[in-house]
Amino acid sequence: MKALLIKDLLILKGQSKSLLLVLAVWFVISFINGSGLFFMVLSIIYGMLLPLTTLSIDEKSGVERYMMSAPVTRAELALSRYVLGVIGIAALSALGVAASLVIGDGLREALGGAAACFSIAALLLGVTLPLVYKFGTEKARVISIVVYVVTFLAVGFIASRLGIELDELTGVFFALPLLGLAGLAASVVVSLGIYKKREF
Amino acid sequence: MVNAMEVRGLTKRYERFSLDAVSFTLPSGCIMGLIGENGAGKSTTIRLLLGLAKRSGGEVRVLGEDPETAEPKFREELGVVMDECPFPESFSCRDVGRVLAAAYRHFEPEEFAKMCESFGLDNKQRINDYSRGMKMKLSIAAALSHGARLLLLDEPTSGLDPVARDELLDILLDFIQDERRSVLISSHILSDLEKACDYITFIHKGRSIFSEEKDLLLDKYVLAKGSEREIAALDPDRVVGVRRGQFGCEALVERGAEGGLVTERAGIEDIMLYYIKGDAE
Repeated sequence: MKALLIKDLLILKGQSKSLLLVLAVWFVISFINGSGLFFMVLSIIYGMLLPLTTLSIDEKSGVERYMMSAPVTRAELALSRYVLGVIGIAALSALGVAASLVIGDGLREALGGAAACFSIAALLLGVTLPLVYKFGTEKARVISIVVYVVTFLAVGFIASRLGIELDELTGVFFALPLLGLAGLAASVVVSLGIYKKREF
Repeated sequence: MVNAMEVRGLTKRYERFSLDAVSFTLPSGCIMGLIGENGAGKSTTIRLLLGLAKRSGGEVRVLGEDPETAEPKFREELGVVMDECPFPESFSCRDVGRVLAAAYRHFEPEEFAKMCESFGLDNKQRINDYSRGMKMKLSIAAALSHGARLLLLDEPTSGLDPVARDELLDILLDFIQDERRSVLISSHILSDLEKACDYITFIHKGRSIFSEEKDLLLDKYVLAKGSEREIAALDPDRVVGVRRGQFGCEALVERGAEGGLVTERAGIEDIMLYYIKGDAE
């Protein structure tokens, strides 16, 4: 697992300049608007995309096949992207909270927003990774977009039917990370099954 | 003599291609060349030997273990060189060393650095800027840097210039000076294999045509030259294939079956070509 995470971090190191630039631009936009929510949402979703970035480079280079010829298990390979994703989302959630506080948001508002964004990013990661493992990054990109849009439309439709305003949900935001982590756990089970049968 | 690899009836079925009952044995301390045209099944065989794909049938023992069920630590003793450099293009030699150090318990960083230096690989240069030969040398340095007992190389010489190919063969010959070590190398550049290999396994259309000691194989066949009538008079059971030219015919025949015709030494390449040609006819 350690070798896989080092590989991923070294891949991301090559893209660190563009990552920092994007975060800086988002921070400036949030600062001008006087709300940290914009920065928080985008940066946390960006965290979710980190393992997908390394996966597309893995696919291109054939490093997965190489790592499977080294003392690395299939389960470790499948899990390493979840670990990287959760680390990325958690780190960018903490950064999001810090940025919101600097911009002038209240602590409760910042923590609630981060909890909600963390959960959504975790759930999206949980949906996307098994799709990528099964279909490859190119096909999974299209399928993921369809899944995201359908999910958001369905949630919006149900909420409007029940007459729930999103503001009313702020109180349950703090419980959402548990839901996100539960979704990830279910996703891990599916991914391990995919990798068990996978041929390299 | 202990065998580094034992393969019996190795079979893998795909929708459009099947590897059909491939068998061979690689004794320790030897180099085996896996030959065959593109698409014959060489890479599939190597993937199955590494446990990267699941076989449909047959038995495989690599260093005494079944690669499909062996613990991951079994792969500590395998050095693998793929047909393409498997490391991301943004990596440098140093980055590759960091990943290997985390992956292999017996990785020797100094040995790896020394090899990279002797291959003329800049520690900080990105793989993106490497030539094909440099990428292959990096893959070889990686395979040799963690105390492997068995090297599996899939088409390592394709795209290399003759000097680089010769250097690689020297490295392999040096590697098996220790008799506990062995090499399986696939290639379609047969002159290379003829120089370095002790055993040759020929795969054609997914089937192993022969797996023999190289010297015995070279001794077994000759190229017989004559008119079409003279060639036609040879024992057809002992003729592998016939090539018809403008000025006569040439046939690959078992030694002793040439019937007084003029003969020439048959190389591995001749043997492979005549088998394929014979099959096509």
